[in-house]
Order: sequence, then C-alpha cells, then structure tokens
Amino acid sequence: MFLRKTLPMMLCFCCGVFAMFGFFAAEGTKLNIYYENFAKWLMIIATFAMLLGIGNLLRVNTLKILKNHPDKIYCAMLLAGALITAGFGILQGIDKGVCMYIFNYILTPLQKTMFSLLAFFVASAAFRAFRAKSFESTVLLITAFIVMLGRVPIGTSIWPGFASISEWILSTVNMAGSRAITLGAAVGATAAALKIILGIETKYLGGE
Amino acid sequence: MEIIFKFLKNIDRRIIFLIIAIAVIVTLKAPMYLPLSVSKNANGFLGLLDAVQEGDPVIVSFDYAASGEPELKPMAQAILYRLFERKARVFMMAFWDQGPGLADNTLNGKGQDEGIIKKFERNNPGRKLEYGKDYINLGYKVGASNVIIAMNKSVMDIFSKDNTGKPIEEFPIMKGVEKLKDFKRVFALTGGNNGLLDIWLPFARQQYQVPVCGGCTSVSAPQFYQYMQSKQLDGLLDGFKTAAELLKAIEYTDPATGKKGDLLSKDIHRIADVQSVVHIIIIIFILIANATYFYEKKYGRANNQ
Repeated sequence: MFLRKTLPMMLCFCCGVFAMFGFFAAEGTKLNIYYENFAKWLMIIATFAMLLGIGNLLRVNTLKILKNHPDKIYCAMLLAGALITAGFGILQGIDKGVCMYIFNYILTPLQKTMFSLLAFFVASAAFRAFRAKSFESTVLLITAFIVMLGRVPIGTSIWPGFASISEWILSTVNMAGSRAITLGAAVGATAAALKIILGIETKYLGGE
Repeated sequence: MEIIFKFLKNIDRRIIFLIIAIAVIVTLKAPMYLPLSVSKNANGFLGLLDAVQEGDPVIVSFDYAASGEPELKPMAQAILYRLFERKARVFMMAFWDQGPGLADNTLNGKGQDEGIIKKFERNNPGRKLEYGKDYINLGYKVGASNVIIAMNKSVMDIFSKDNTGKPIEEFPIMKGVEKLKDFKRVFALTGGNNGLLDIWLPFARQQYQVPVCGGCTSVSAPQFYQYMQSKQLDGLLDGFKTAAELLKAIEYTDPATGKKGDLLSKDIHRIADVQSVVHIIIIIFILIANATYFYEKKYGRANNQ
C-alpha cells in the first residue's frame, strides 16, 4: 500500500509544489537554480519514457503477430518500418544513408499525402453539413465565406475588402472567443493539477 | 428543375473528390499567378527580421512534421534567407523529431529544390555560408518545456553535440552564447502541440523574456491571435498566404542580370493559386447544398400538403 499509493502521492505532492514555486522564483535564487536542475532530470525521464514507449510498441505488435490477430500484416509492417529505420539510423547515422532516404522519399511524401487529403474531405463535409438552418448557422456561413475568401489571393482579387474584414474577424471576433476558451481551459487545467498534487485525484495511480 | 435539385442534393462524394482533383491538376498545369499583396502581418514580420543585427544569435525552431511542410517550409525559407542577409548567427533546433531533417532539406534542398543556401550564395556572390559559423543544426531534443528551462542554465549542457554528433563548443558560432537569454530572438515554426504555443511562449517569452515570433498552419492560426494582441507574440505568419507574401516582400538584385527579383518562386505562387481555386470550389459546393436545402424546404413542404 505504501509503495503503491502513499509514496507516489508523496512524491507527486513534493514535485508538484516544488515545480509550482520554482516557476515563480526569482532568477538566481537557490529555489530557481534547483528548479532549473530539476528540468534536466525531467528530460532524462522523458527520454526513458520514449524508450518505454518504443518497447511497448514492439511488445504489443509482436504479441499481435504471434496471436495471429487479423491486423497482423499491419503490425508486421509497423515493426519492419520501425526496426529498419532505427537500425540504419544507429548504424549509418540519422542525417545520411538509408535512414535519410526513408525520411525523404517514404515518410515525407506519405505524410504530405495524408495531410493533402484534408482538402477533399473538407469539401465533402462542408457540402453535407454546412446549411443555413438557423440565424446562428447563417452568421457562421457568411463568416466562413468571408474568411475563406480573405485568406487566399483570389479573394483580394475579387474585392480587397475581403482581406481586411477577414483579418478583423480573426483578430477581434475570433480572438474574444478563443481567449475565453483558453482561459476556461487554463482554469480547468489548474484545478485538475491541484487535485492531483493534493492527492484528491488518484486515477493516475491506476486506482478508482 | 426538381430532378436537377435532387441530383445536386444527393451528389456522390466521389464526384466532389474528382472535381477537386481536376481543379488542382488543371491549376498546377495552367496557373493564373494571381497577384499577391503584402499584408500587415507579413510586413510586420519582415520588420522583426530586419531588426536582427549582424552577429546576433537567433533560434529558428523547426517544430513540425512533413505534413506541415507545404505551409511552413516557405516561412522557413524566407526567415533563413533574411537572417543570412542580416548576418545573424542562426541556431536551428526542433521539438519534433522530424524537425532537424526538414531544416537540412530547407537549407540544402532536395530533388528539384536547390535549397536556401545555394539561392543565397547565388544572389550574394561575395558571401559563402559556413556551417558552425553562420548557422548550426542543434537537432531534436525530447523534454519540451524542460529543455527551455534547462537551456537557460546552459545551452551546451543540453545540446552538447550538434545534429551530426560533433561537440558544439568546437564551433565559432557558440562564442558568447551560454544560456537562453543570450539569444536575441526566437523564430518558432509550429505544426501543432510542442512548439510555439505551449513551449516557446509560456517559457522562453514569459519566464525568460526572450522575444518570440513564429509561424503556424492556417488551420491552427485562430488560437494564436490572442497572443499577438497581448504583444506576447511579436509577429505571426498565419498560414501559407502570409508565407508567400513574406517571400514576395524579400527582394534581391540578380547579380548576373542586375534585375530586381523576389523570393516568391513560381512553384509557391502556383500553390497559392491552387489554394484559391479549392476555396472557391468549396464555397460553390456550400452554395449548391444550401440552394437544394432551401428548394426542398419550400417546395418539398408544398408537395407534401
């Protein structure tokens, strides 16, 4: 019980309080110096977390292949991709050779293709869902038209006003809403963090 | 009339995909080269680049993956070119694992793209850019905000080696650069989380008062404007259009012909055209969808009665 729950909670409390005060401590003070050293520890932990992630990825996918899972072909592809890239990266270096070839001529085109597909899906989704059913949705529709035209050269060629109205919408109307959401989320995140630091929220320990 | 509206209402999505594909291909093959005017954002950003003095150490952070490259690479090209013109000391780094590779591609080119170094040296015959003196690629670091905090203690502790594995203290670019505060400015190009918004702004800008500006993809731009208004973010390239405008604003004189030109290449101008055409098609589809909706609302009800 002590090792599984109490000790992690104590560590979480100490680290949380230390990081919180360290952030606001004046530069050059002892607390601030310890805080900056603490950041280095966290980087080391993050590196090991990455290794843990890679290990877990290999384990989960190997098990799926061994258990003859329906997706085993994808698992094998993933494992082959990961091991070949990592293998050549370790042997030849990450900035040259096969590793760089894989990056330049396989990964980069694949990722760009995936992102480019957005244009097709956005067009289809907008056609299916964007209807002026109410006053609010009509306002949304008109705003979307102005912003869409204001953010491409053809919009300013049709009417230069589109760019300035679009800019005003984004930097004034959108900003007000965006800031409200950001502030709300930040307050929520602070409350959630405090609950974890004070031991009120213990789900991260794997309990109820 | 009813048949037409019925057809338009139930249009297959594969037809939409096909129309988009045809429009993209036709525009790429026969571009219009629509005029681009330099916006306030692009002009402001150019001002920030021009404020960098000779020898100033600056960070250019490549916090994006290949998926964001079409929008963010033109920004990186414009920023690096102008910084080299200003004779700044450019430190490239990344919080995304693909960042260092994309930084190398921007500098040295790949395939038909000649890279920014070659372009710069061609336009400035008297200057030869030197790795480790004019620029350096520090590579990728895991640890997000902790990297910034630790960098303020010692840059060399965190980045002991560059992206090629050489100790960074060997390079003359490191002279006078010990901690994060020694950098005059950060240019962060971000493709999502782990970048400008959640690392550079709250830590480099807010905690250590290092001026920060940057670029993002169009789709994520709305969340950045609030930081522009509060002046925490000095400048923002909010998507491909502003990047193209910045490239257009950076002019040079061709040493061979003596003619004036700008960094906006025909390839990038073509992509701006494609973006325009796709936006127009999406708007047309939305209008069609709404026309069918209102037709059905008016006549569908009448038919039912």
